[in-house]
Amino acid sequence: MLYNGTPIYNSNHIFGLSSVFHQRSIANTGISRGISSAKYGGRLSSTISLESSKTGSYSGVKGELEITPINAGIYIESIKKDLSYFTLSARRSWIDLLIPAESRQQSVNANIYDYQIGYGKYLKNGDKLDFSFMNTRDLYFVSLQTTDTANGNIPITYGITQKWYNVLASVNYTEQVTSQLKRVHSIHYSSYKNKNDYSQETYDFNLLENPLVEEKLQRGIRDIGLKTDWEYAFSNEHHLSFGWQNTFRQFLLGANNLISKNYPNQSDIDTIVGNPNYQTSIESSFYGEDKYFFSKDVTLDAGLRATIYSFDGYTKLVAEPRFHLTYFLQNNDVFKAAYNRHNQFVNQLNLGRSGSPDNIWVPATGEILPQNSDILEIGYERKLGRQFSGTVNAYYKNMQNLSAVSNLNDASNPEKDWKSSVVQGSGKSYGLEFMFQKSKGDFTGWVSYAYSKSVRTFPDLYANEFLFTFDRPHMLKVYGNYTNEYSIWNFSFNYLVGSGQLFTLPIGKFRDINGQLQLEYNTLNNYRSPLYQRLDISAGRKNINSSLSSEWRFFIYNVLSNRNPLYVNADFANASYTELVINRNYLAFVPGVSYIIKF
Amino acid sequence: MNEKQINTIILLTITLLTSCLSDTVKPDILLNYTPKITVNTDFDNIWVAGMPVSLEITTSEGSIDSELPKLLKDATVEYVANDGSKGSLLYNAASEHYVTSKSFIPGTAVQLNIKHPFYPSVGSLIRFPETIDPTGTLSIAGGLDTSGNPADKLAVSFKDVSGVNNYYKINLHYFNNSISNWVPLTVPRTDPSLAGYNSIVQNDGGILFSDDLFNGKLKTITMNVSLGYVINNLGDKYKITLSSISEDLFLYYKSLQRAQDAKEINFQGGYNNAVVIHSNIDGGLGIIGTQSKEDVILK
Repeated sequence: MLYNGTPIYNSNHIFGLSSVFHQRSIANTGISRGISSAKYGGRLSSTISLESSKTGSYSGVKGELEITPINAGIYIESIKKDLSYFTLSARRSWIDLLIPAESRQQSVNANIYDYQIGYGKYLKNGDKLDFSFMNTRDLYFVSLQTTDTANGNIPITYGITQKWYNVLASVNYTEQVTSQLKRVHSIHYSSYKNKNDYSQETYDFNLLENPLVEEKLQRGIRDIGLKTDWEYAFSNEHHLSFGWQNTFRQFLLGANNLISKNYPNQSDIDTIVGNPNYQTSIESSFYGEDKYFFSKDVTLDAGLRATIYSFDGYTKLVAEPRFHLTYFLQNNDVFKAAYNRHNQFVNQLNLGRSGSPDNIWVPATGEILPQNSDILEIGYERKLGRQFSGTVNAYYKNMQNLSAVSNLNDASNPEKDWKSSVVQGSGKSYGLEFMFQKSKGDFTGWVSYAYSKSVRTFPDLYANEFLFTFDRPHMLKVYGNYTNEYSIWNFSFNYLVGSGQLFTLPIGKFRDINGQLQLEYNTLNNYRSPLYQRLDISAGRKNINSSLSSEWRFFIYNVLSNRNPLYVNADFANASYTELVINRNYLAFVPGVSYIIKF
Repeated sequence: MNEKQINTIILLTITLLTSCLSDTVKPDILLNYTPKITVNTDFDNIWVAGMPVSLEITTSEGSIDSELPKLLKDATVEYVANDGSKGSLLYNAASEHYVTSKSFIPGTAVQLNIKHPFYPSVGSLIRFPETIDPTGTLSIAGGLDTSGNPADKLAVSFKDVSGVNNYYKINLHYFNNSISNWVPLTVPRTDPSLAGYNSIVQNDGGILFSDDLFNGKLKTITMNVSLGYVINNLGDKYKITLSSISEDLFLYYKSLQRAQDAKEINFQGGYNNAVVIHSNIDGGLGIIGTQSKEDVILK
């Protein structure tokens, strides 16, 4: 995910339940699901490009204040048309502020915040400068008190803290050199760090200072990127784009600071296990692309992206061809066909759950090779009158050197080499997608249906090909929105129905060579949850009787209370392995409300 | 904090908690489980070339079944060796194992077939690894231990067969003359082939390892053992046991270790911690491990 061209490594608040982006901080969203121009690279999965507001058709200041059950936020936008802009959006949770400060420090605390600042200015020579800054943070702390009855009822306090944050900054300088040549030079910085702290303090009144043990684990990743992108309209037929992009990517793979102090007759300990230093990889890419207007109906984007990557003595040179053919038919219909190759030099080790802040970013190495994919896609778009349109897309994706964690314990242990807990395999996915859209009128919306299949082969995990965790063959989505400028009410709904999520459950149990019981799996991802079905509804009511414009927004997530498991946990309820219990956790009928004041 | 604020928190907390629900299910896929025959050589009776062999046969049960795996005492167990010899393994009530006095020579293959009227038949093609003829040396106080103190230096050498993946197990014992018994010692993991993820430590102190780092070459493993075991005790001696083990046994132990690690984290969604235990029993579960074992006595 890119924010103003800068990658963000964890875009989640509250362990994946909420996004770090305020909806008003995003003016444009671009999604590239694999097919992209040669300008973009380094990812196998979709690229989501988010851009903050940078221009406007007016000069002036406007903004919003918003309060929801979770947080309160402000958005301010100041634009001098064709001269400069300034945007600020900021949110912070507020429930924790109701808890006394002493309790937040000693018992429990949870708070989140994020803010984004954007500033841009047109220079006298017509060039433009853009600055962007973003900071997000989640903090969770809980303290538990117990008594050591075995040693004279000594009080003991355990503290657990988890904190993660992103810092992003970028500067873009855009030159309009001639009417044919435009250059954009950029520098960006992106940092993500996750910290887990554990502490145990023993209150022994016989001692001057309380014995204390602490464990402070931190992991992270940071990028420093430089790039220059050129666009040159060579002729009416050939529009060229080319450039150079360089990323110094630094990995903090895991450093655990172990502290023990004030224990009688024992020396204090303050030591670090793992590697406290960042390790740097360098990814340097050159690209060139020609958008060739073959005729007034046919364009062909032909590009090549070459990347040289190095990390810890391992060097790899790759070339990625990109082709994208667009054929405009007589009735404004469009036919598209594309082929792309992509390489990825950074992996996220999934330590049990997607979106978890504990997942580790690691580099490609000589042992864990860079991932690559080949993608073929064809599509057809058709306008159906003035209000309607339809699209059909088909794709096939072949992936090599995919990574998976084979040993969660070792992978999360900073004392061990993470590479020994990673296995590599291959995968393929293909699908067919239909979309019907109504984009004009009081009622707008769309209906989409997708058939897809995604499989993986990891010989070190399982002998045969198995379904990918996120394989969902059928998915129907319906979205509708009603807005009438004369009505104080607006409504929208979102309905999804499709294949359930896959989980892996043991089918049997048997004795092993040591006489212990083991679990039998017939294949990985063998259990598909029942049909996934969800209806979300929302309504907004404008307040027109006030001097300040304001609006109430109400929503209900999963209004039908369908049991769509977020998480499935299977375990034996007793030590004798005779009672397997499978628990499903899900969110049902989650109401929400927000109040917005506009100025 | 005033009453209004407290009520606000309570209301919001209740709203959130009532939205986070959980239930317990017995998925259909787990209901129709067909029990399988599970065949194991047990840890102390991994089939050794040149020695009589035995195996344990049990059933498997569905994961949601309240039944536990049980001994199967009335199966028919037959073997056909590649030298043409045939025979049966018979159930021995004392050891609760199927046994035969037949022994198999290194490098041979044996087809095992197991039948039972209530369970699907299973089979396994078992290969006995070739012998490796290791040699060893002992240098009293010829090395240094991890603390830098003088230590006995033991070395064992063997030639790895090239072109194929080979797997080994190494154990270290010393003979305590005063109690007339072999006492196991932990094998130091100072050799690169014994360190890292591709070797597996066993409960008996032995280590399983592969030839990834020395395929086709003469390999020497050196171990420094702290002084005091044999230098001052007449009759005491070292024994290095080096076994060439089957690939199936190595893969089995590797998957078993991963499963043990994964258990501590629980088995949730995804495929990170659902470990498939390797098996060489066609149609069934379990492992028949084989080894060609040789001792090197050093004094």
